[in-house]
Amino acid sequence: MNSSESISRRILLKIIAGVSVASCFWPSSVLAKWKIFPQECLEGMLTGLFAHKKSAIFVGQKYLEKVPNEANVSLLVDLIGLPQSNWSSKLTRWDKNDIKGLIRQQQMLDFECNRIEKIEGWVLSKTEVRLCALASLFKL
Amino acid sequence: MLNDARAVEKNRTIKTDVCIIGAGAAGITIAREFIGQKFQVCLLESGGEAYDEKTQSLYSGVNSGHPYYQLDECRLRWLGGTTNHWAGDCRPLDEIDFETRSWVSYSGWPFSKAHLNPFYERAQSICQLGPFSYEARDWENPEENFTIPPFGGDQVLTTIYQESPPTRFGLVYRDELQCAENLATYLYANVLELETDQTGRTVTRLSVATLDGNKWFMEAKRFILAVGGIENPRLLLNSNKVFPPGLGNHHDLVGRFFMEHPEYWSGIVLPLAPYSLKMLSHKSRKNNVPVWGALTLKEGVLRKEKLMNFSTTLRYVDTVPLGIKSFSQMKNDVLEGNVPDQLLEHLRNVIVDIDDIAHATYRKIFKSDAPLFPKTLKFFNRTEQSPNPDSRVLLGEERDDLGKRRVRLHWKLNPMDLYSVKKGHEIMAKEFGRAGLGRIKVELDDHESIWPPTLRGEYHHMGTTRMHNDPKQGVVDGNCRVHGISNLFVAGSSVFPTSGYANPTLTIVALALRLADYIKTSIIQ
Repeated sequence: MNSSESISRRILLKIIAGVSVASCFWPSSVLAKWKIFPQECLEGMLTGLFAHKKSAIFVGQKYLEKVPNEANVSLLVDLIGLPQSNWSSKLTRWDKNDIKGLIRQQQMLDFECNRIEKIEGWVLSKTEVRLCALASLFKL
Repeated sequence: MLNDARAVEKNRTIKTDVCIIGAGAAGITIAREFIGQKFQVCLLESGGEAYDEKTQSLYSGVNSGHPYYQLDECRLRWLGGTTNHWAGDCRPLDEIDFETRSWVSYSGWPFSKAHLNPFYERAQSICQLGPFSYEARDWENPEENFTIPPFGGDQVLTTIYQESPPTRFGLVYRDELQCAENLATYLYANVLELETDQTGRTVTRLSVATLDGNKWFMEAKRFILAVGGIENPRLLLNSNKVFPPGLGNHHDLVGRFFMEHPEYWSGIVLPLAPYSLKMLSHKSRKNNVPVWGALTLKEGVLRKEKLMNFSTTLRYVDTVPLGIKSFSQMKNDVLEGNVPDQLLEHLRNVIVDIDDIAHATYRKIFKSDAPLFPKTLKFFNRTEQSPNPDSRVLLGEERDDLGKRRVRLHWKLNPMDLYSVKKGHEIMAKEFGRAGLGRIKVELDDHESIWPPTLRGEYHHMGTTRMHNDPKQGVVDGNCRVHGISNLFVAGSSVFPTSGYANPTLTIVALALRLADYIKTSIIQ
């Protein structure tokens, strides 16, 4: 690749990145209109969430072996159950700690409301295993 | 005074007011309560003041039920009895253990825990324990991080065990026994049989023999049988000259309802806040009393879910990677429940990644980014066994060196004993998660009748001459008197109608004090 091609490539990547970032700032109505699923944002969130990507993928694959019909990004996002408005509003103001706080609340509610999943004897929250399942689908 | 039964004149009859058979925790407790009273007491002990192989071999028997220890290993036969290898763990039974529970057949004591509390209180000092409190809040020690785990909620409860030094009754109380003026202790005295009158309603005398061939007799107005949960029924069944099924056995209950405390490894804990769990995984000492905590289900949960009682402690065990172990080491690991868990490590990474608080804790504990504990934290359970009439002590065909039939133990468990722990663990797992304290792996097989390979007993032999005011449901009445026999009483854990999960020694001593008070009162009256 020559320097002019690499520059073009860098510009292109920036544009793509800009689009990705920009899409995070778009309100949900716009996203819906454009049918843009915020996959880039989701992937970014998961990357930020899981420092140990291999472990997340391992757990996620274990879960999907048990529940193969959930091997779908859209379905998992719905099932994880973070309200859509929260997704879009949080995505417009991406904040890792806010997401973690939401997830932590969701985990504790899962145990309280018996939304659990047993994987090889481990009693886990549905939220955490579905997040791992998402990570395995994105192959972080 | 301590006497040697081998030196008693052959065929002599010794007369006394009260004769106690067996110098273990129960027998010695009762004997001490009678010191200084206006009646004469004899205490008979099969062994001497130390272990001897020939006496110990009288305990040999056969196991025909669930795998169990050798019967001459799990009991000791010399002054002090099985307290000579007692670990010292003490806790009273819970209130619910005394109740008639609709989901537990044959449950119910003739009295409540409140009735027994004054005797528990007196038993504390006999077992060299601290004050009579088993509330976790009374034993917190914040300086050591020994605090109640912050579960909150209404599902689980942290309870406390106190630890005796342990009290070797034969050593600690030997001098008192020797110096007591109204008490004569006979060592090497083996009771062959309790002889009765022709009606079988009154015990008239004991035939006593020594291993060197001596034989004599003991007459008393009252007899107290205190030789343990396996030997009490054995002696009653072997006393069958007048009534062939055995003394006190008119309703075929002697020996039945044998209960142990099944103990086994049952799961792994992935702790997110290890220091918060220290009360469940470590010992502490407060006011010079060693204590440790255990997790149990609250009584409301036991009632709602219809479960047996049980308690769980957390213990750190070594974890060695699979690759470097030999086959025989791995086999032992499986038996001990120590199989490495691949998913554990990945889960730890995932949960710590998600949870900032846990992440901070791990980073604090481990400076590097390789935070794995070298040991695994595991659940270790002690469970209540539900009363089962087919779990029993019988007489075998072999005879011992004194010519008496040896014992055959047929230990049998009920499916609900295992179900209770499985269900209880699921509840605990959810509580760990809800409280943000960790994740649990339940390592109990889903199949209801497959017992964990690590399951064993705790040398606790209970229930074989159970207490009930109805002679068709119990061998002894509420005062521990054998139904149908006016002057024979039973002491020890063989009278327990239910077992709870608590170690039996403190309750044995409490019941012994209660019986001693009853007999003192009846003699005075």
